[in-house]
Amino acid sequence: MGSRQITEKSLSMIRSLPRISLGNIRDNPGSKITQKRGRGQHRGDKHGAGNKGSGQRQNYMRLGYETGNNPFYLRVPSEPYYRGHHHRRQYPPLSLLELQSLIDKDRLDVTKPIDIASIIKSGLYNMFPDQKQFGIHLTDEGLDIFAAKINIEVQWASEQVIAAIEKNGGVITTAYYDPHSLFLLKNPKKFFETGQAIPRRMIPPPDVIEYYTNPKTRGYLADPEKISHERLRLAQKYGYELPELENDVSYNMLIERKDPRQIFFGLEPGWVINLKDKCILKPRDEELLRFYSS
Amino acid sequence: MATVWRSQCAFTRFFIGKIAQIPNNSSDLGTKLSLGPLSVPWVSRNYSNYAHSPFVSKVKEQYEFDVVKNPPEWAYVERLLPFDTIPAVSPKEKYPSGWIPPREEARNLPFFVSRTKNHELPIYLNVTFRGMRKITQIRKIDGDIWLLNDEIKAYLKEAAKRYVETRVHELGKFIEVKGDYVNVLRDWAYIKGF
Amino acid sequence: MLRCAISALRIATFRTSSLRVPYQNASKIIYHDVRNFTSLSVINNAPPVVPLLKENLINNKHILDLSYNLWPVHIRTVTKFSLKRGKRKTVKAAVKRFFRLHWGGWIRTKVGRHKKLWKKSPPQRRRLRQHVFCNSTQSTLLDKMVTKYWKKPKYYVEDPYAPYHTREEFYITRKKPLPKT
Repeated sequence: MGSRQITEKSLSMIRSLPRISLGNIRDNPGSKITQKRGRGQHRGDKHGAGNKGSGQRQNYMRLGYETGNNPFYLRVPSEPYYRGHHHRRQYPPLSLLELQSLIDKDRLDVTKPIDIASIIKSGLYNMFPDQKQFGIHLTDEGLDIFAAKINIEVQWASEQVIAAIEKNGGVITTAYYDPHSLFLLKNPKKFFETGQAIPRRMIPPPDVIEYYTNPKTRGYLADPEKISHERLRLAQKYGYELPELENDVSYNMLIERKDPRQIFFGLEPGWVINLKDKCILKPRDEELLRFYSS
Repeated sequence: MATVWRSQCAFTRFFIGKIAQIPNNSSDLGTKLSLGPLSVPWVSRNYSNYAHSPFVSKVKEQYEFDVVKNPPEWAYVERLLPFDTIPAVSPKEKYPSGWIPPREEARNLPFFVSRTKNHELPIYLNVTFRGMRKITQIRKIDGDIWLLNDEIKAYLKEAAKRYVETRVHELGKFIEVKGDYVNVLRDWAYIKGF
Repeated sequence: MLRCAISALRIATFRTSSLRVPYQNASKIIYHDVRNFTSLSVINNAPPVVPLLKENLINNKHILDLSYNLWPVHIRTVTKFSLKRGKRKTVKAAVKRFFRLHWGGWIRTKVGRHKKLWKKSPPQRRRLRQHVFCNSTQSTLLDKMVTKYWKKPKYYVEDPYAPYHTREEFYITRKKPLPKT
């Protein structure tokens, strides 16, 4: 039959043709319609603008204007919902469930202390210090399933979250970082490549001094004696047995802390990291040492 | 950060003669600055920018630094550097977060749904028309997509107790299911071992 | 000419009155001198006191009265293209009265909540104290009136509005997939 011949013919033609690519592909004929403004009898009446009024004249009323009424957006009494929004610190949340899934998927190493640098390094949490964001708020979603022994440092945590971490034998600290330090923690590699000395961490502003010196919130400026007392108290309040830190195999990891002036674990302020030659420049000058130790 | 740094440089350049100390977080770059009087003519001072303010001259000496090759602290630096690739998940006894690893026997099926780069199932909820239309999308389907479509339809009819509309995009390698069936389909994928 | 003088005076009234220098600047503009845009260099170079001429527009009492009684003009409609950067601007009147929740809804106070409370019954006064949702049309209008800064979620700690920022229980505003049954 003729159709079979045509099929055979076209198939053989396709076999001989070059492979299809972006260079020799084009739309089917008639698949694209270009809109034209018709004239006269070819839809030349209103051109889709309707009959009379602002639709035809393209002079729409300004947003919210109600033709002389008191507009809705000015009728309502004012309320200071957004007062001080440009000064308030934000703490983007990270739930315990997300933290557990980071640990399960090996994005976080539980054999090392966890801080904001390692959480951002995991790639599944982000934070913008230039938008008044000051670090991690560890929230209580997934409180019951959390089962990891970690040494974690966050910027804000509630009492239940602290209890959930300490119940599993972990340690939690809340610590403040100024925006400049947060930029370094967000992308340490970029900072090291600039060849600058690691700066000091700033002390917290007056309104959060109380939070970060409070042993109940495990503040980094609190007395360690009082913190261990509060650990015991929280265990009694929530009714779990506090695992002994001293007899733990990973005791050295669990007690690792940053200095209040330190930004990175193990690296002191004033040092310069050379990534290319794999060496660290440590200042020996008296003036510098005095400056960075203050 | 660069802007802050640059402005601090300018600030340092201007005030170094007055306060004679290093402001914190400044880019001192390991150089000491001369603290002599700056010869700034008072009349031509322009307060609006630093474009015509004089540069620091007379860099006296370098700060003394110990250069430590292969220091023990290098482990701390390596810990901070980003991953080269997303790490593979090591097998564990249990995953408390509810994540389930893919099983090997799923390879023998006539179709396959691969995991995303973050080791998650590629099943998503697309909400459009201000929450009026919800569509579940299964992506990254390889193999016999039509057979997979039949299996999903049968499974959803069993689970949801009603007929569920689906749409197969063979070239795009995805199937769209009308309605919010994300968790039902996730369960199905875990049963199959994807 | 008059408008120019008024605008110059308006600038002058915003400055500190002790300095008195921008007045000279204004008089310069009126007398068609070479316009000098770096006013600060003028401050340094010019002698501190310049006697003002008697026929000066600045001495006109009518204009002075007008200029002292000028208030900054409040624009309460949306600016689609600003003069400086050509950007869209927020209607400040809207963010002073309304609050956007993360799921896209807007809340507001009740109209007349401070008015004639003496003749309103206790249940009505209780209702006036409440904050209510705007409807869909109003929310769309308010979304157009504000820039993306106000639509970004703001993560404050101890936020009293935290429970209201998600609305997963209502099928239209739900964002996450339904949980397992």
